[in-house]
Amino acid sequence: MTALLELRNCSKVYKSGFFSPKVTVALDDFSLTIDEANPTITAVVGESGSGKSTLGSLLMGFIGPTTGQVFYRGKDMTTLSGAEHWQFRQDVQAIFQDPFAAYNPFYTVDHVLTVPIRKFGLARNKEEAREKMGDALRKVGLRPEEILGRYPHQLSGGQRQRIIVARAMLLKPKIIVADEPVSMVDASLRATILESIYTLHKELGVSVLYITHDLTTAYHVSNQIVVLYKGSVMEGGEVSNVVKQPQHPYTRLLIDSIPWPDVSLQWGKEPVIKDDGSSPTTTTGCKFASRCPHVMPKCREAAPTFFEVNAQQASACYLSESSPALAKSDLHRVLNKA
Amino acid sequence: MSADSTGRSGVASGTKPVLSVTDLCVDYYTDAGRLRACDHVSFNLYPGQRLGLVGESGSGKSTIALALMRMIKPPGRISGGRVMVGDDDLTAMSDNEMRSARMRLIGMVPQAAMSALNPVIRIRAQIQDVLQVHEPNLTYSQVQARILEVLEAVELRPEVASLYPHELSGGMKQRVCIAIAVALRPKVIIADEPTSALDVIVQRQVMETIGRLQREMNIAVVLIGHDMGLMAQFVDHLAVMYAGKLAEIGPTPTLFAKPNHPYTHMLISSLPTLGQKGVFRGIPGITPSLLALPTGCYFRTRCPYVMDVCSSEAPTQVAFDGGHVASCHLSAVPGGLTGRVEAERDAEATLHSARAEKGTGEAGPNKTGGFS
Repeated sequence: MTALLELRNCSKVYKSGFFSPKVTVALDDFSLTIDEANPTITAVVGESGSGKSTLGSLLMGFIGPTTGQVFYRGKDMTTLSGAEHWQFRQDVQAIFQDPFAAYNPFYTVDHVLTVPIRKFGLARNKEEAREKMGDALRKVGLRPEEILGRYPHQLSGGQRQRIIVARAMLLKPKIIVADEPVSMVDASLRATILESIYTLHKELGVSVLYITHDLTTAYHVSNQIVVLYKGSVMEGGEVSNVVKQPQHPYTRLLIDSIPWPDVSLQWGKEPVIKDDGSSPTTTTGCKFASRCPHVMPKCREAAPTFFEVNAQQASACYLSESSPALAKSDLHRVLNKA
Repeated sequence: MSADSTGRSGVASGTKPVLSVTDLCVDYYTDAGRLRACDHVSFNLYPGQRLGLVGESGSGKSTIALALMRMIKPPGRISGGRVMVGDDDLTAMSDNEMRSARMRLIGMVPQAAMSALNPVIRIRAQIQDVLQVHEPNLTYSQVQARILEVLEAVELRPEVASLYPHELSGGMKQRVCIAIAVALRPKVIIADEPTSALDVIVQRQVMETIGRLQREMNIAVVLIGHDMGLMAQFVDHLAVMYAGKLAEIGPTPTLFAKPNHPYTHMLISSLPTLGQKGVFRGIPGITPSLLALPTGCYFRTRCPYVMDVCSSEAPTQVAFDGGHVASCHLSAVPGGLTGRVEAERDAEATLHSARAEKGTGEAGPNKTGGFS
């Protein structure tokens, strides 16, 4: 069965400077498969500079990989015909971080909904277009009569972000790439936006790639999770396994750093080892070695491959060495099982 | 107020508050009419205490921060009330007196560190600025020594002084802002969402730095934000704002264990925990426009426990044990909010078990509690 969208051993390298370029590996040998038949919500978690937004851009076709290939319905993205590319544009939709920058302030918010309807010819006449817009808005919990005809500045951040979700679903996509969709929204509104994304997945069978730095929301919406650090996958698997029994020291640090809304839990039991910049993204060893409390000499020599801790979880750390090894490109074997 | 059990600083009785806010009102005069962004807000902050100020966008929390710094600009105006820092009345000061008091008595860590620093000036000069204006008697070498001292206090390397803001990461920029805020050793620091743009690990490191400075210098901190998780882990007293009014204020453990305002309860339960997966509890509706506030209680349009009295009368503040104050009509009802919440939970549980018996419901919630 061909996957809807597949990244195969993708790396993305950015160079800056002309004579002695500074090389940054934003994404290092990354593989991921998104099936059409088996829709999932995959969370990609990592801090700034972990390459999670690069991954999102690769999936949406905004950039091409430096090495490796991106396949859409079994075809290399670079060889798509015009019509196939058009289909890709409809199948893969994006939700971005900033609900303020996504709008042109001179147009009413109807604009973001009418443009895709017109471009993709989704409606035969104005009546039908209006009906579709109304349906889409109602699906994300908004009342069309309160929204249509308004300007972006007249709406709250939460409402604006939900209109973007409505726009994404209007095209009946197969995949939604949501890059930090709730990080700029009030904590109390996050739940409603995540709920509308979750509902889309449930009702329409859309696969979602949820890019975030927040493990708690990732735990709630997703089935599977991939933890990125400096462009490499540290740990991946079924979300409850990874969040409740984290194997990789980096995942443990991330979870330990979440401020839980519970006064009886202690915040940050393990101290954070500061990044001294000694392991750049181009290191041959484990990228987390300089901050790892369990660092061993061999960590600095060669980066560990994945070790299959259990059927639904793999960790790229020598601490899990006793488990069977798993090739970098076979991460999907522990994913896609939910 | 007595010391609480979480190890956060308690306050001995008889201590004078370092920051005392009484009936503070801030009005904005707009074309559409006057709106009150801060409505008779009162609270006390004792030396070394950490107060959290939470609320959604538009609840007036940033307005309070600006009012405490006397930085409200027209069309806004502080229209009533008093702000005392120690024995100094900030609201009675002339503009010149306030200029010298700002940063010296009361410092501020701004929300957007990236836009708070001047992009074309080196970090050294930005810290030097505040020292030279407020302490003109310092010699050049004293100023340089102080710059290195404050950089060290916020755990930045001395080399950072000669860098430009764009050469720093988000966390480092926020640390520079903290360094500037504590450079004059103020009695109070107002931190307006200092970590809203940072990752969890960096957020933890920055908050640890603020916490350490607060203990070492015995500064009182007002932390403004909307993340109840961060509040639970950092502050010892919590004030919840809604539509410009204080909905509830009290010691953090009490507020989390037994909130007496439905809004506080909903804020806490809207946060995802590792309990029930896939359960989203947002707060429905949006904050009312300050120009068209509902009659009676401002929260009644979104309150699940609304009663008849809520639309006719605004609730007054009711004091509970341990400095816990809430403004809600439910306080007068037997059982209060806790009774209503428990009744609701029981009803939900009954519904859930009924569904499970029929075999149509989804799997039961996985009870996992904490994890290590």
